[in-house]
Amino acid sequence: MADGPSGAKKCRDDDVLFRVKSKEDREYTLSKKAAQLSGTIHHYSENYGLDNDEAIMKMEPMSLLEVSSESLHHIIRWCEQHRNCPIWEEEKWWQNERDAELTKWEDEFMAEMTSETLYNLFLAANFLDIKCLLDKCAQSVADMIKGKSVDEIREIWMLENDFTPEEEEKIKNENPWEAILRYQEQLEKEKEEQASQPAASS
Amino acid sequence: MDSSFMSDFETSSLHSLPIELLYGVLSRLDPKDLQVTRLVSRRLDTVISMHDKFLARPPFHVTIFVENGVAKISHNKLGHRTTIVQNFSNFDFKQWSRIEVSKLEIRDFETQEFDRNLFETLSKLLQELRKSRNFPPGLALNRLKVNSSYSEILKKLFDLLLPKTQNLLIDDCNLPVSLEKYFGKAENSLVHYRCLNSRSENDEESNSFVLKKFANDLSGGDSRKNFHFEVSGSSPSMICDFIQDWIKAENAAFFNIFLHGCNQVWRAEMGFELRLRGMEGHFMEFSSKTHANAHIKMVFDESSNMCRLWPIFDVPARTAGQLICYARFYRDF
Repeated sequence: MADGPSGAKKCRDDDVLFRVKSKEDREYTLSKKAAQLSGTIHHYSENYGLDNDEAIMKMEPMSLLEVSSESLHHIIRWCEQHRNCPIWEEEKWWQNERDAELTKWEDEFMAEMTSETLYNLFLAANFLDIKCLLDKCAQSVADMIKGKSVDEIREIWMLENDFTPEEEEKIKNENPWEAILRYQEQLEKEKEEQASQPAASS
Repeated sequence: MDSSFMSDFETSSLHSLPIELLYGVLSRLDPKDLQVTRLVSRRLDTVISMHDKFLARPPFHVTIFVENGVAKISHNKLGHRTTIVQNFSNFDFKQWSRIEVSKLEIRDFETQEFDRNLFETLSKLLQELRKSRNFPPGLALNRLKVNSSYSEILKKLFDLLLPKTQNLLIDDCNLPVSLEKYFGKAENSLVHYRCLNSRSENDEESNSFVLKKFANDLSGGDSRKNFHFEVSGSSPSMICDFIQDWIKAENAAFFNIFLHGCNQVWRAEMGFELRLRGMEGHFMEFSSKTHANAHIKMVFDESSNMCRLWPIFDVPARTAGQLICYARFYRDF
């Protein structure tokens, strides 16, 4: 049943397993506790009476039509690793005291991702409403932008330049400090012109 | 527009993220990175421009002042030497949505009667701060002397700014409003307060409200808060209240208190107040009841009529048998 490559790695034998199905109709399992990290799964279990172990053991797999097998595999790894963390409802717990080992694990987990897998994982985390993962994804994407040049960002994210040179120039000039400076220079120029005009006429 | 919409679904890349996720990413970037990101693609530029007031902006010091009867505005980008001074009425306030006013100074507004120009400057300022969502953490008022015809506009300005101000410096001002109501609230984020040679309605009351607020913070959850308090109008009883609160507080927070205008009379009153409360400390030191090694030191400087209070923490430097050598240290701000 559990045919995920390593999704069930951290499951123990006595765990009650929650069954989910990816977009490609492949079935995965994750422990009941890990599943509680997802707001979407939480609401699903409320609506379908999956509030006791017996019901979960008898459940039909929950279809996650928006999540690919690859992303689901990563999601399950994340959830199993965070199974002892506060459940989905609690906001911002990950900003407080952090377990150094867990942080290290998260960083390694994120380092494995390419921009494309990260993108899909981000969307999947959003669909499943896993707040701690959403936060980490946003941070990782931001880290991939920080301190990079325009071309580097385009290369990482496989983006094409869709600006005309004029537009590009315009945005560069919209820097507020520059704009204020330029405005001031312009004013001074006008002043000078005004001052020089009467001199020229006389 | 349609074609770019299609490509959004085809590529799995940064700018095809749903807007709320993209916003989550952008809100973690600093102004410099945002400026770079804008140049990456049209969609990113659009998203950033649409949300610029909610994303990180480069910090500026802004000063509004009057020179020869004309209101001026000056901008100084942090870390830059140049300051740009312009006539207030000429300034293009659209720029404000792209900058963060981290410190706002208003100075040299002195008028005996109602001056329409000055009044309009203040209204415009209020409107533009609100429009650009700028709530400067630093607010300095310098020689702002106006009569009661300005009280409405000043009230509106303070209603907007003071709840979020961290550093409030008031020097040589005459304000026709009462400030005390802003300091009673616990959510107020003030950490540095200075009020010298200024008059406002109930000014001594508001000073003591600020000090009370600081004392309340001591027992609050945020124990790391340090504060600085400097006033020219203080009463011995409010200082004694504070000392009593501090020595009882669980968190022995650092602070600096400077009191100006503490002449012989004030000093005598202070001594009387201390005796009345039974708080006479040794050498003007008041030990904490919760921290064995902590106490408040009070020092008078007669030449400048100043009184200074700050906490001292004695730390055992080394133990030699029964004799303990103490190192005495305190932290300045």
